[in-house]
This record gives sequence, C-alpha cells and structure tokens, in this order.
Amino acid sequence: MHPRPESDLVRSLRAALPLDAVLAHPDERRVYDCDGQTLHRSAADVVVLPRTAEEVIATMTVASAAGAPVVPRGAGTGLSGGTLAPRGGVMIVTSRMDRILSLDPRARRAVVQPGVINARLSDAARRHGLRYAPDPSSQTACTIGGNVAENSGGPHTLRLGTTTNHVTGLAVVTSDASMIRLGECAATPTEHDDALMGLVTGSEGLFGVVTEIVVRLVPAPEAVRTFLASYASVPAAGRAVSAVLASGTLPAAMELMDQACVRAVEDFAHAGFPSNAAAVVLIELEGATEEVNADEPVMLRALRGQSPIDVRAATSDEERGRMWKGRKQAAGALGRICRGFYTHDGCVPPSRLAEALEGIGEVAARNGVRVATLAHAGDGNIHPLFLFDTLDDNELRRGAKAGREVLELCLALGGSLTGEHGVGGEKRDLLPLQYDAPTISLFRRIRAAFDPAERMNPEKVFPAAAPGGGFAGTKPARGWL
Amino acid sequence: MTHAPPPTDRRSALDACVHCGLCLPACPTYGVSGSELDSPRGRIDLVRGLLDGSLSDPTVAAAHLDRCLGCRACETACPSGVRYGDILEAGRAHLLPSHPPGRLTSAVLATFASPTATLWAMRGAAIARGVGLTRIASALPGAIGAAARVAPRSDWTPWSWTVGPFLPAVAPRRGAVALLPGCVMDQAFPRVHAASAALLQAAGFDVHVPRGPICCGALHAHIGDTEAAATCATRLGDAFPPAVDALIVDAAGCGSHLKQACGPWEACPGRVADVLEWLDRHGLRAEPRSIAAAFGVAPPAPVRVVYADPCHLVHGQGIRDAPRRLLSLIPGVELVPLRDADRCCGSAGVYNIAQPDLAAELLHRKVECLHEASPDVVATANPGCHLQIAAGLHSAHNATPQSVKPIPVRHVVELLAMSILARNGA
Repeated sequence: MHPRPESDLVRSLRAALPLDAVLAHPDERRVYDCDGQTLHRSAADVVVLPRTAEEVIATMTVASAAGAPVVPRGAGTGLSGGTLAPRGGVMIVTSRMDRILSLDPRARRAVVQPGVINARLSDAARRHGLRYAPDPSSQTACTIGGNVAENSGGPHTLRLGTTTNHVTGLAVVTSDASMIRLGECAATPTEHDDALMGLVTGSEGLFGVVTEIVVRLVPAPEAVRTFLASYASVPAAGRAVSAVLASGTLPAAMELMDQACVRAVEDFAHAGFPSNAAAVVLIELEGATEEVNADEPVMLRALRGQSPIDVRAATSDEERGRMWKGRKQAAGALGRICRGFYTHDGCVPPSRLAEALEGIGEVAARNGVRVATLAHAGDGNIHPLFLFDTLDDNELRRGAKAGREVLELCLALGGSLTGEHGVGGEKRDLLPLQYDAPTISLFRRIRAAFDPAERMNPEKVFPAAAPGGGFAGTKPARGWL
Repeated sequence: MTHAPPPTDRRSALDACVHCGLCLPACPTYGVSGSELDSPRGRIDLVRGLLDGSLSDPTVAAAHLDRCLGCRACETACPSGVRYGDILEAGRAHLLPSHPPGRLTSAVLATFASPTATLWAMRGAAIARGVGLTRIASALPGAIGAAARVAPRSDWTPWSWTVGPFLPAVAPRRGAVALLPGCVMDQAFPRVHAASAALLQAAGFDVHVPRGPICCGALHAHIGDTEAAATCATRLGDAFPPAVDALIVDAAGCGSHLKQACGPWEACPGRVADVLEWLDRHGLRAEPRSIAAAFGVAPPAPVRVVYADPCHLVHGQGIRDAPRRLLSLIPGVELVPLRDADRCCGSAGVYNIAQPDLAAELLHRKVECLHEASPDVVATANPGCHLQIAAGLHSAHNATPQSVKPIPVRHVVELLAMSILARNGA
C-alpha cells in the first residue's frame, strides 16, 4: 500500500497515535490538498485526524521535534486557500473532534470541540429556545474551529456581531505542544484573556490549534420578518441598502444578490426570487415584536424610496426557509451555470455600496470576465464571483487580475481586503496595500510570541519575503476551479 | 447501456463539483469515519484521479469507493447539481476489471442476474430457514452472518406465478399499469406486491403482472457491472407489456435505477413510477379506515407511525412528501417525526454484506433514532431498508426484551391496503 518507506515523521506519528488517525499515502493526502478555494493546491506530507486534545498535543509534540510545519484544517470550506500546505509537513484535521461537550441553557453557554458543525450547534441550541448567532453561508458544513480561525461572520452578524463577539473561552495548543487555556476554558480567567482570545480568533491558524471552544448562545428572537425587494439595477439595490441603514433601523440581516446568482439558485432552491430583476435584497427584521412593528414601516419606506420593481414579505416559515436556502447556497449553485468560478471577498463602507457594485461591473467588463455578485450588504461585505466557461490559463489570469482590481477598488473606497474569508494564501501579497510596514512588523512580532519558528500554517497571511509569493510552492488546479 | 454516461458527460459531471463541501455532513459514511476519503467530495477527487491516471495506487481509491453506500444523499445536498451517482458508477466500472467485488457479493449478484438461479436460491433460503440453518448462520461473524441476519423469509412459489398475468381494475377503469415483480421481492415480499396490486386495482387500474423473478439490474449497475445491468434491462424490456400507462415499482432501489436506465429501455424512463408516487398522483379512490386494531392500539389513542425514507426514493427519485401524504390519509394515524429520517440505514443493496461493520454502525444509529420516536410501526418503501431495519429492531429487542419493545416494519402500501381493504393483522 505504501510505495516508499515512510519518513521518520510519519513513523513517529504512527507510534504516537491510533492506527486510523494517520494518512500518509499520496492518494489519501490528495483529498486534503485544497479547501473551497481550488485555484491552487498543495498536499501535506501527512494528514492526522485526531479525536481528542491529547492526540492534538501528541501530534504537535512529534511535529515540534521534527521541526515540521503544521497546518490546521476543519471541514475545508474556506475560500482563501488557508488550509494549503505549500511546505508540506503535518495537517491536523479536526473533523473527528465533533462533540458538543456541554450545553447549559441557563448560562447560555456551549462547550464544543473544534470539529462541531456550525449548524449542528444551532440545532442543539434551538431545542432550548437559543441559537448560535454567527451563520456563515457554509454553516451546514463548516466547523466552529474553522469559524474561530477565520472570525467568520454570516448574514445575521450584521446585528449580532461576528465569531469574536461570541467566543468566551478557548483552549489552544501552540506549536511547542503546550496548551493555553483562556477565558471560560481557564481554571482562573484573568483580565487579559479577552484580549488574547481576540487575537487568536481570526488568526487563521497562525497561533496554534484550537481544541476547545466556549461559545455564547443568544435567545431566539420573539419576532422574525423577512422581506424580498427587487430592483431594476444593481446600484439601485445598493442605494436601497444604504437608505435602510441611514433610516436608523438595524435589520438582523441584509443580503444582496445580482441576477446571475438569482437565476442559478432558482433552479435549485425554488426560493421565488424574481429572475427579471437586476438585483434582489433579502432583509430580515428580528427582535421584540414591538420593536419589529416599529421598524417595519421605516424600513419599507427606505426600500420603496429607490423605486423597487417589487417588495414582498415571506408569509410562512417555509417561504422564509426557502428564501434563506436560496441565499446561502447561491455560490454553490453557480456550478450549474459555469464550469468554474473564483469567489472574492472585500469590504466597503455600507454607504458606498452602490459605487462598489458599479465598479465591480466595470472591472469585469474591462477584463472580459463574467461576474455574479453576492453581498452581505448591510456590512458592506461584497463577494464578486468571477465565472469561467473554459479553464485556460488566459481566462484564469484575467479572473485573478479582476479580483485584484476589485480589492484595490474596495481599499480606494475606504474598505478592507477581506470581509470574512481571511487573507490565507490568496491575499498575502496584497496585505501591504492595507497595512503599512511598521504595522505588519508589529503583526509579525505578535505571531513570534506564539510561534517563534513560524511553523504554524506557513506561507499564509504575511507577504512572501521575495516578490511573486502568493501561492508560490503550490500547483495549479487540476480540473475544477 | 445503463445510465453510466458516455465519457464526455462523465467529464462534465466531475466539473460540476465546485468543491464547496456542503455535501460532507449529508454523507453517512463521512459521519461515521470523519475522513474526507469517505466523503462525496473526496470520492469525486479519487474518481477524477482514477480517470486521469494521477493516482499512484488504485487500491486506495477502490477501498473508499467500496465504502460508499450509493445513497445519493449528497445529491440532495449539492447546490451545484453534481450527479454523484453517475460519477461513482463510472469510478466503479473503471475499477471492476482490476478490483472485482468479494466472492459472496459476486455470488449474490450472479444469482439475481439469472431468473432460474434466483427462483432456486430463494427456495433454498426457504428450506434453510425451515431447518434452522439461517438461525445458525446468523451467529457467524463477517459477511455470511450479516447476510443471514437480514435474509428474508421466502416463499416456494413466486407471487407473480400465483396471481399473474392480469388483475382487472375493481373500480371505474382509469388505465392499465404493469407491476414489476422484481427478483427478491417476488418470493420474499408477496404481501407488498399483493398490497400494491390491490391498491392499484381499487384506484381503477388494470394490473399486468409479468412472470418473475426479473431483476432490474440496479445492484449490478451500482457496483459498476454495466454488462450484467444491460442484460437485465433487455430481459425486463422483453417482459414489459407494451400497452400500459406505466411500469409501477414498489421497491425504491429498482425504481430509481429504472428511471435512469436507457439503452434498450429508451422508451421507459418517463413511464416508470414508484407505486407511492402513482397513488399520490392519481388518488386512492377508496375510503381509508382505521388500522388501530392491527397494532393493538385502542382508539382514540393514535397509531404512531414513523416513515423512514428509503435513500433511493428520497434522494434517488426526489420523492419525500408522497408517502407521508398517503400515510396521513389513514384515520387515527399520527405521523411521528423521525430524526435523520432520510439518512441511510446501511442496507444499500448488497452493502450490508460487503461492508458489514459500517452497515452495522449505520443500522445502530438508525435504531437509536427509531427508539427515540418510539412508534407503533415503522413504514418504509424498499425491501433492503425493510429487512435491514427489521433486523436491527429485532436484535435490539432480543438483547433486552424487558426494556425494548418489538416494533413491526411495514411497506407503506401494506398499511394503506390494510386500511382500505379493512383487513386486520398483517
């Protein structure tokens, strides 16, 4: 089964871990050579599937002794190439650490292993009238550990905040195989723990492997109302979003989809999105019934001010569910209308959304690529998806160039490089566009405090020392994008 | 000849996957192993590697493709419309020459491919059970034990011989259908066929019953044996009476396969219907009555029924609501929700013989969900699921008879027929 004698690293891992926890054959490792961003791939030398924190520590001990790089991975739904292993080494996959260790409805807390699927936690909380607020579009598959690494958001984080606002305790195994317990994971929490948890949340696997997470659960809202407004132009939809925010109401979620997305998703989700509209805005109000009653007319006035084709409310939970299914699976559904696509992620101030959306159209036209756009519009977080019909290098290059131009546009409008997908391997060389040299140098020193040898998730986030880094050391995609 | 698409289509079937990973939690084997090698996304990558020659050792891919149930829950979950079933069969067909299935699996499949062999194998099984051999074999470890534990009770004479070839409508006539006798079903589930035929007759359809046993070839196609599947399709095509509105199938696995089969079957896919789909569409045309007495329930207490979705009905044919709607027509029936109702029980054709350990784990999980719901009867719509779930419930009851009550399993048509024909007992 094994074509070559196994390396010392693999033999040591086999000695330290259960038989089925170590995957070393090239045909086994290859299924872990990319995440949801498939432009580039690179496989680790060995993939480890631990079940417990002790097995993570054992793995880190072996990797540390061997000086091997370590790449953490959850469900592999990430979109910035954050789980590629360009320097090989050990990949730690948390999919088997999938237990909800405890759920206390009175304290509104859950303690979970990192491999617990986001939606499963919400399902478990729902039985107690609670929910876990961050709800990324991949929530049916992505893991809480991955959410911590990326500080994931989601439509409903507009009102309730991203992952970092919901994590109250963390256990992290650092590259020297020691475990740090923070906040509600610690025996005696200190005042510094919140700051440290804030650092670790969103650190994209650079500081260690998270092995236990305490999260805050929030009560399910008393009233929920969902609306769909359709517009004849994308900028009009963007202006409507800005108008709602300016009106003083803060919806729980405000999502925008353009016509290409709507058409792809209708076929799959039958959400009732009008396919003649240039863009639709999905808005959800939630909270106390009184508050929602008061907000609704204000919000509707703002939407109607931009001459919508139609505004309608979901009349049943079922219809609401279909609308959300349509939104959440829109990206995946694009596979129905093109051979491949490249998902981008950037942020602009919500007041400048219309300009950004117009700009995306211009960038696509200038580069000769098709684009479909999704946005967590209330946050100003835009996801242009560049579609490909063929997979030739020329088209890929044009798509990559368009992506970069969109991010430059976001920065020019006062926004940021990434809203929620992270920097990963994909945008590391663009980091200096947003941060000056002293700031990046400070970031490096913080990283060194956790991981002086820089063995954790190498070649991510920080720009390559030599120009032309980016995905250096990775190979191009095999078949699909 | 079967529904494995031509190579160009296969390529585009692979390309439809955008690697988003939303299929992962839907996959029962990924749920057990937690390894992406046992997931749809991982298996698609392995098939890609097989077809483009980039794997270093096909044995690895073969092991993980073998562990796939073929339940196609990933197709329901997939937003991109990836036809995973086609990709799987393409991968298995590619591997078949170098990695033939195990001896027991091959023997079972060879048996079903031949009507005479099926007839005598089922008769042999009837004798084996009669003299207690099945009971002894059930205690054996491995594949033989697994096969014996789910082996159906079977009749000497196929059902189709006893009633065929024609059963007239007993209500104002609305059309004519043929009922597929199948292979195992014809001797092991005469009650299900009889119920299907009676319901169809009562709904105003003449029912043609071709002489069985006739295998549809689904099991052969699933392991990649396209040649045997094609032989089955031809034989079925010859036996199919031409002047009927539809070929009615009361086994979800067979229906799912036949709806996609082409070749000599070109005219058929649009005319194949599951019996529940057909009855839901055309109406029962009879007044259902309570079935409480048959399950020892004293009204006004409801008969608590759970419906366990057969994968090849819900994922393979997209039929989720029809069986539930039909069951709700029965007065006094309370349809109790079942956690993970559309998750595979581990039966999956010959999977429980080929992969006894994984199948046992999946069955264990299914039985756990069923006990949670605690119904008076479990309804399903496919012989494999029927036998597997019954075996799981039976052994759970046997292990602790005081605390775990026995729960019967019935095909949905059996409950409906019981209700409409006001027959008690089953």
